[in-house]
Amino acid sequence: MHTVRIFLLAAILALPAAGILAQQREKNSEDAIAAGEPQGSPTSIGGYGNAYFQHDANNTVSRMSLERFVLFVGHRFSPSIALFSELEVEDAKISGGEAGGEVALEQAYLRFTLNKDAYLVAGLFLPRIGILNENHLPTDFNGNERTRVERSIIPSTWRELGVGLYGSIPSLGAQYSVAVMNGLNAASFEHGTVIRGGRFEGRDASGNALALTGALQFNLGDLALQVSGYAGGSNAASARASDTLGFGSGVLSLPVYLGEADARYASGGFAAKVLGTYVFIRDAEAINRAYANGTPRSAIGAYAEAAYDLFHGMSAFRGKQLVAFARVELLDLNASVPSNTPVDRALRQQHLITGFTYLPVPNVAVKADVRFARTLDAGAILPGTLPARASNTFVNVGVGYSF
Amino acid sequence: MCIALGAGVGLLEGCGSPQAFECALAGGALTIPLALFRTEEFQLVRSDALQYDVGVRKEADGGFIALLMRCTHVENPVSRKGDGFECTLHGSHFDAAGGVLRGPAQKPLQPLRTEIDGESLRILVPHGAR
Repeated sequence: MHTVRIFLLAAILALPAAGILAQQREKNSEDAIAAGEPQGSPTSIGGYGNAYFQHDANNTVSRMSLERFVLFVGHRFSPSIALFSELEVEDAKISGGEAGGEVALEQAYLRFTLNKDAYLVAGLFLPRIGILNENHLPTDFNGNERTRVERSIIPSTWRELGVGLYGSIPSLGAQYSVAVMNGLNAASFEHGTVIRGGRFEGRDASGNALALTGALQFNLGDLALQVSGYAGGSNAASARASDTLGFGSGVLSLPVYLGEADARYASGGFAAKVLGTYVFIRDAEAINRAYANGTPRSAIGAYAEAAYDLFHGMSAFRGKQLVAFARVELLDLNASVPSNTPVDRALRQQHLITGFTYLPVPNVAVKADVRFARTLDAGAILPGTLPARASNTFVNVGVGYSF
Repeated sequence: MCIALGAGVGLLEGCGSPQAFECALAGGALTIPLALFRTEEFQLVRSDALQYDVGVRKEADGGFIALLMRCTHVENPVSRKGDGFECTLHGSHFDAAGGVLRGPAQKPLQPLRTEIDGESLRILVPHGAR
């Protein structure tokens, strides 16, 4: 505990130091021979979005969604201090009293550039965990739906408030990151979503629980490797409330541990990636005793994808891409459960997604894919009712853009 | 364990970029020795006068491509990934010649003119790239 407080104090003190260093760097660059303000407006606007049609074969229903409309706004205060933000609207509309739709800040943070190899961030940001957190634009991934493994387990896109240090070591082809951010809220864990419900996402986040994340990437020619980890508390309650609930208190109370490793390969028109991730909630039994929310003790997932650009090397289609892909995802959202939680067989899933991504320009994607979903036979949910189906097929067609 | 760690670091050093070559900006140009490319096809060049590094690649025909390692979407450094470059801010990917492979960037990385001067390579840096 004492060590954690010292670490936090150091992180907080680092911020003004970063500001001083950034200003000093600015002064040095002003003294240099050819220094000057970068050209162009200091404020930038960008964004991304996607919409798609989905047909659910089992339920014979179809739906369409303007899933996301996101605006980036950035501003450069000085050569070494900048603001980055993302404002997201999901499902096009929020109307009082009606379900669906969301308006949320996906990111809003200040970046302090320390030198060419390192910078600090402070605010609401997406930590480097997995692939999707930093590569979630619709032009970044194949398929209309983001990977279920990363959405359900990691749980991307995952943003919290904190401070982080990002850097690179060019001679090793390595990039690193380490961040301290607010922890999760175990009271908001929900059955079937592992830790996803426990995210604060920048809104009224509790500082009672804190978390540490870190990642290491290596670029080895055409292969990129990454390992990342997360360790943090999920007890947002006060010390008195914790005592009543039978928990210990402190920033690492009700700990959650997450590990991830992935590999990405791209050469010529071929690309492949594999990812595995594991979450461990040590005190799941105590959480269920207090909140009765069906928290699992662990969840595990992995996926592998292969893709090939059919237009690669064809001069007639220069600047365009037609990517054929296939992805297998395996996940178990209750790989182990405490004694006070039943196993939900429907949370052990397999998904096979295959389809095409057409990019007429690098910033626009037209996507068509089919997802074959299977779960373990879940049996009847209630006595006398029909058992839930163990397989389903979804057909998706959509568009996406980024700029 | 120390031997294994050292071997691991050695392996990684063989796979990353060479150490960035540091030089001053003089007369609007960075000057680097051609000898840097005897065993490496790619060299990172760094100068205190520039906000971003310059990536220089020797082509098969003996020519050179120099690219400002600044993402053209939002000002952010790009890093080398495979033969190309990547910006981790929003995921823009660029090919070896700086052309956009995946957005949100729409413009290619800024190329810088190069000229061979004896045993050196001069990289001409316009004011806007500083």
